[in-house]
Amino acid sequence: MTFGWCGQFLRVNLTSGDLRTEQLPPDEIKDYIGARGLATYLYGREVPAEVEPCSAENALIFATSPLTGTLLPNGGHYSVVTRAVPCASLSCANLGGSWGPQLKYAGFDAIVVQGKSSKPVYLWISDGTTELRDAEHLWGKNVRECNDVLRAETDKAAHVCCIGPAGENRLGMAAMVGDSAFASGVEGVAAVAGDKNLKAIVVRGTKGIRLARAAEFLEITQRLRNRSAATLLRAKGSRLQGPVLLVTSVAEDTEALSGDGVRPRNCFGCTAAFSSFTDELTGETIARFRKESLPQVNAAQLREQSAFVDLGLDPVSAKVFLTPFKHDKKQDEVELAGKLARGGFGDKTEAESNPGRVGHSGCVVGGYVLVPSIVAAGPGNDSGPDASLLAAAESAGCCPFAATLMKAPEIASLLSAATGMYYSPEDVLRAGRRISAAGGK
Amino acid sequence: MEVLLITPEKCTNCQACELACSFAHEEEFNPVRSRVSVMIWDHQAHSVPIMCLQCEEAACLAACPAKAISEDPLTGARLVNNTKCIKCRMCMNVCPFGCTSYDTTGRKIMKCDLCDGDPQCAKVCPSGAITCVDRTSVNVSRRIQAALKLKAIMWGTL
Repeated sequence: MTFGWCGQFLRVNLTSGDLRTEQLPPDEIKDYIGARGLATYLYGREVPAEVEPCSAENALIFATSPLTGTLLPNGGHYSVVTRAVPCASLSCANLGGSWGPQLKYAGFDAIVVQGKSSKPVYLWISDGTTELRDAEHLWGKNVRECNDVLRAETDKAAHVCCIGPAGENRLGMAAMVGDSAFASGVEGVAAVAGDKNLKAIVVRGTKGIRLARAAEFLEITQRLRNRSAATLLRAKGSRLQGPVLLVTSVAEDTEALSGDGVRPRNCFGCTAAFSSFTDELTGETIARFRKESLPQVNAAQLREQSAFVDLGLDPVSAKVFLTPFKHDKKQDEVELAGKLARGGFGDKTEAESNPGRVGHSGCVVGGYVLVPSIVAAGPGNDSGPDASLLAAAESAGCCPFAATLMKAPEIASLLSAATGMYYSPEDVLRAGRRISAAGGK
Repeated sequence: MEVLLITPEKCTNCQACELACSFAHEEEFNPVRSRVSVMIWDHQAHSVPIMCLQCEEAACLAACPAKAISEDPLTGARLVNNTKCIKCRMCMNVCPFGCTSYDTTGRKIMKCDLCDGDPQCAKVCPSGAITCVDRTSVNVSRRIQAALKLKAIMWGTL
């Protein structure tokens, strides 16, 4: 019996259509923590060096951590790693939502996708049963519609991680989208999925995750939970245009978005859901967790962001790309985005020529966070989060935006209590250094 | 004596309650084996946590042919005695809220037991969508909100 881990991963060969479950011994992957670290390790093990992004030899790796799907605050995250830019370091996308936890409840720690399919397919995983299905009818569909169709075809309670038209057209600024709302558009990861003709991965699981030392684990998570509610977060970098709310999705019904009190929808395990940033007179931007009152959201801004995500585009880099094409201020940006996603701007948007946005943690959780970096407010926190600590927290399955709340000793004791293997704070930092050096950002 | 109070507009669908519940009762993180479930409407971005409301005139208690369901005098919870239970699932059929369910893994009826007076779901809820409040002060905050509206109408100030 393994604790925290499921102990196996799924190998998918799209060329032959072969699906195989393989063992993943926890002691072998201990040094890589999980998620981003695990995916980086598996990539190095499975793929020869100097492989072309758009070749059958390239692999697309989805990986969760031993803490994904547990009570870790802000801890439902998973990573997608591949080589999307030739001769550069690996690309790593970090996603939230329920897809990662669901993959573990289905009994898999990771998925290694190899080869290239001759026609569009999607992968359906249900409690250890796996199947590649035809996705011809889904090709060209937007993210939300794709989610609806796939849930109707498989299971109402299933979770979907898919690409939109932008990914199909192999755009560098395309995003992987989990649960129709949580997008991560870094460095063309979604373009590689599009190149492999893999439209979506649908998962449903009913198994549980057990931990080695539960009482100890719960005590630490409760402490982190209380701290995340009490800590003020500070946004660094460019000044904000009005208040920004850390939300991940809003109602699709545009009528509901008018007026006040737009309802946010959040990631699995999120404790920062009701935080909002306000630009204060001092120039510092402070976020406060607001338990008692729902902060207001700029409905028009959110509607626009949702439209980008629905097309499978990373809103931030797509907007930068579209700026020179917006001759008329009244020209509809969403309409332009539609043209962009469907390949209307030609070859120069392809993954190889446009590596997309490389920003803080490379993650757009839902696309509504407009701040480049978040740190805990207070003296001694002037620099942004340390790259190796951030890589370690991300590898432990923590949201990059909330990773700043955790320090190495806490990550180490959480991992030790969950897996039953001993991690020292130095182990965690060493792993973090190794992972951030391997690239992905 | 305390009761669980649900405030749906505060729910962010983080599902921490489901994990805390399944862990407290089944020692594993598994939303399928939780006594509380968060119902999610993706397209409207709405979610509502729902669990047993411990009815005063409980249909499950009345319907149980094995007399396996009884009231806990300390917490007020309706408890299932798994030794007496014959797994006929009559309680599932009569519950108007669908909050008694059958655990296929553990082969037993799952129903909220208020965690012996210390509900874990309320403890982990980050936004206050599930709170554990004293019976005598239930809805006091809602009453205050309603009174404030009336006050504003009467005197023009909140």
